[in-house]
Amino acid sequence: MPTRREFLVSGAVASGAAMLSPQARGADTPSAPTAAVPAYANLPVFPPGEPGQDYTPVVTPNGVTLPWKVVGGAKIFHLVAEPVEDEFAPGLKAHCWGYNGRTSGPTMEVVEGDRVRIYVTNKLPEATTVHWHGVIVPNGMDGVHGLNQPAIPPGETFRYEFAFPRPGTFMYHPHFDELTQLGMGLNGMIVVHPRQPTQPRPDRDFVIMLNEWFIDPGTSRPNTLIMTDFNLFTFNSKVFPATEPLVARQGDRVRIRFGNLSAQDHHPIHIHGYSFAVVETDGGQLPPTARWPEATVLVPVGAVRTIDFVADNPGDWAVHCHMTHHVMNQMGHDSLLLMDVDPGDLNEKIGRLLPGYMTTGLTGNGGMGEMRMALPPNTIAMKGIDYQFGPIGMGGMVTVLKVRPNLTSYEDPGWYQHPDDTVARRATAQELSDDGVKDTGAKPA
Amino acid sequence: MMRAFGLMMVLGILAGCAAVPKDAGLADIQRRTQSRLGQHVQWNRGTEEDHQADEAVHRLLSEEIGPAQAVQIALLNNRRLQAAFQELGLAQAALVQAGLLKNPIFDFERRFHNDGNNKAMEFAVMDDFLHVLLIPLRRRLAAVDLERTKSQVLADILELSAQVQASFYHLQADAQILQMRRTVLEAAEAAYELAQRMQKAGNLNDLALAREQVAYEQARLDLSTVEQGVIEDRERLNTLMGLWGADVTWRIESRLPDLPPEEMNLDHLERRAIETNVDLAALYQRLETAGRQVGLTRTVSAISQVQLGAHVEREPDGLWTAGPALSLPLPLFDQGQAAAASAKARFVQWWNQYTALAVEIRSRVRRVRDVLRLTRQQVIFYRDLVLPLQQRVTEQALLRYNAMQMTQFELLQTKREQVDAGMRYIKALRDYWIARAELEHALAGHVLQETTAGSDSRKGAEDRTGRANPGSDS
Repeated sequence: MPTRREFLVSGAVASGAAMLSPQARGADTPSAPTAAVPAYANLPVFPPGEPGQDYTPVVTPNGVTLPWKVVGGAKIFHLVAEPVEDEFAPGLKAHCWGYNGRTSGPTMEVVEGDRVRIYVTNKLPEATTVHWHGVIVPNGMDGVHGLNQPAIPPGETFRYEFAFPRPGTFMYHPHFDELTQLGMGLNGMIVVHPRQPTQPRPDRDFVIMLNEWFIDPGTSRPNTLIMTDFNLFTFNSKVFPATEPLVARQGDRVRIRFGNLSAQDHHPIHIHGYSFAVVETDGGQLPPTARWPEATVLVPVGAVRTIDFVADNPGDWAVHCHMTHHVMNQMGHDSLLLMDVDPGDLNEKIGRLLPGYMTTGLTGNGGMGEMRMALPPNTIAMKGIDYQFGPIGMGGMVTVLKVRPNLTSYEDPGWYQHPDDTVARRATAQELSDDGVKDTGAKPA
Repeated sequence: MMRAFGLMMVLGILAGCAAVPKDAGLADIQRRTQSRLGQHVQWNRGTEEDHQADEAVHRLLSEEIGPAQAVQIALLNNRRLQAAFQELGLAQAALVQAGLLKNPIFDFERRFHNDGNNKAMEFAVMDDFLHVLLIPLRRRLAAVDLERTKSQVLADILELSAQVQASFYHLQADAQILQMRRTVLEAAEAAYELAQRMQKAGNLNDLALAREQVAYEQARLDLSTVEQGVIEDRERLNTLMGLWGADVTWRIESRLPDLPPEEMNLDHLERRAIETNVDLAALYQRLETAGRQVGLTRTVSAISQVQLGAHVEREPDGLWTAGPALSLPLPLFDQGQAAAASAKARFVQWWNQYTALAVEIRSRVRRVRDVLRLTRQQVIFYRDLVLPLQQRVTEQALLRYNAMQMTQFELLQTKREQVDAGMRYIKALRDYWIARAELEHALAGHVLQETTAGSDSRKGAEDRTGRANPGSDS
């Protein structure tokens, strides 16, 4: 019986060899195809990786990690595809599909070399499969309906069994009626921790799935027939302000793994207050020499980007998609453009016909969140959230990175307490005068 | 000769004594109008009552008038109806005439003989003596004709009432629709104004502006069309109510009456219509007249030229002779057969007219009954379902506008659609009331107390033909 250390060492070596083998094959002579074998071939046997010991568990904001047990040296997982109700934010619930009662599905967390058996039960009204996006699996485990396997009929449970030959961040999702099933919310992330980390483990390791939806205001069902005109953009199937903040202690090594299973849109995720590096994609780790500093990472459709940084800058920092339509909730695009229109007495004229009518957008739409006009039921269009300096008008793909010194818990620490005189404020006349600023926009008395 | 004169005098006195109604049946018509329509009619004959009727008209005109008031004004003030009343006078005169003897013809001859001395004279008084025998028959005919005229006048009254009601409901509906069209115009105007303001700020293209403008201009035209309708409705009522000059400024109750909760009794409508329809009654009386004339004609043509008289003659020798005279047509050629055939043809003609009208009345009453039922359903459908739904649509549209899912243009269009539904509701309600008025007309007024007189007379018609016909209820 080999010792645990021997396992680890041999595993690392084997794993490294497996990882390198494709490159070796590419450099190798094509006349020796028998040497080209997949990463899972000849994988040494490892004991199942244990959290805290073999890895620091990830945090899935607004989500959970998929539980498992060990049977005969393999980790046993059970995914149940089923209709679920998702609350995108208070005020908007919808009938979606998900795994194990939620969308996004639970994060599957394993360690490089782990063997797994995954049981997939289909409680959907139609057949489904599961595809393990980015994971190097035997062809018959890849989950493409028709191509690799028969579909799982409603009411049946299929078994997938394979090993995770390389570390990284991957995704799982159906490969049957993709338009409907991904559009209804069937997705989840897979994190494979390295058996032998070559770098320090992150202190805070966040997993965020990006997705987009169309839910017509007043309805409670994602419209999966929409092709481009999506109106909800989610982190783990939640929109701001319901997205849980990313809390880190000052000095923590922070990792964020973004996966994107949106139907049509790439998402340039911008993190305020920091520079970071992309360290990994769903294809594997980037060598340190290939990384360059970023403030925005573009996460393409059907891809993963993992970024690392050290949380050295305390404060409440916006983390958001930089597509401006992706930071709105259920905003329609059918409003009239009323910027700079002189309304005259239109409010009264239309109000006589339609009591309660209000003309908006005359100076832009910045105030829409504050007006809180009556809306259709189950609608969160333009709802703002109050923060310490006023309402935040953004929605959708927004969360807040909260970095604090001396945290004792990763619970939401509340609003950031700014050191004295470190918040932008109205300039005093003396300051304007001292600095020679003349055109101050002040209205003449 | 003297005896013959005496007989003629006696007959003449007898004929003159037969009862002729002094008011030509006006009181009867007034009573029937009151019981059937609940309205008063007045035959203006230069009396104090004329003045009272005139005052009543002006009193009614001074306040907001409803359908009943409009009918009352028309019944008192419509000059064609007054002209129809004159028919009563004519019929009454005919009845009197029928009771009078023909004036006798005095015949005088003076003959001169060539000897110059002897003067002969001859007097004769001749009359269609046998005509006297026909007086009771003629009087019966004239009396029936007066009844027919009364029925005709009553029919005119009912027709006028129905026309006034229909015109009135049209006016009320159009007046309400006019208000709604103004709302539509306001909505279109607001949209157009918004479009103009947007274009001025550089936010709207010319096509979109033109579309809003065309909708606005069309709304103005639509308003104008309804204004035209209101004018036509008012003038129709002015005509029917006999108004002109300063009297045409009357105002109406602004809303159509609500749907009555209970529908009028729609049982046995065909029978009731046949029994009570005054047009049919008038035609029946005409038929009766024609029937009597069939028997009369041959007699009349045979005896009409028979003249009896007294003859007094002074012979040239100075001798007076006197004696009866008889003038008799010889029925060699005209034995009255053509006149009799004509009268018979006339009777059959009226019989067919009568039957045809009965068929029409039955069809009409069925149609109006079904229209009444359907329009009632439509009104209820609009009132209880469509209008609340349209209100909900507008409210939901406002919510979607608030959620930036809808433009002001769409929002205002939704409002216009809501008003459109309101207009359709008003039209359905109008059609209901018009159908109701038409049904009342078909049933000769809404209070149906006097049905026996008409049905009795037509029972005779059925007896005569010996078979069921559309003019009677089997």
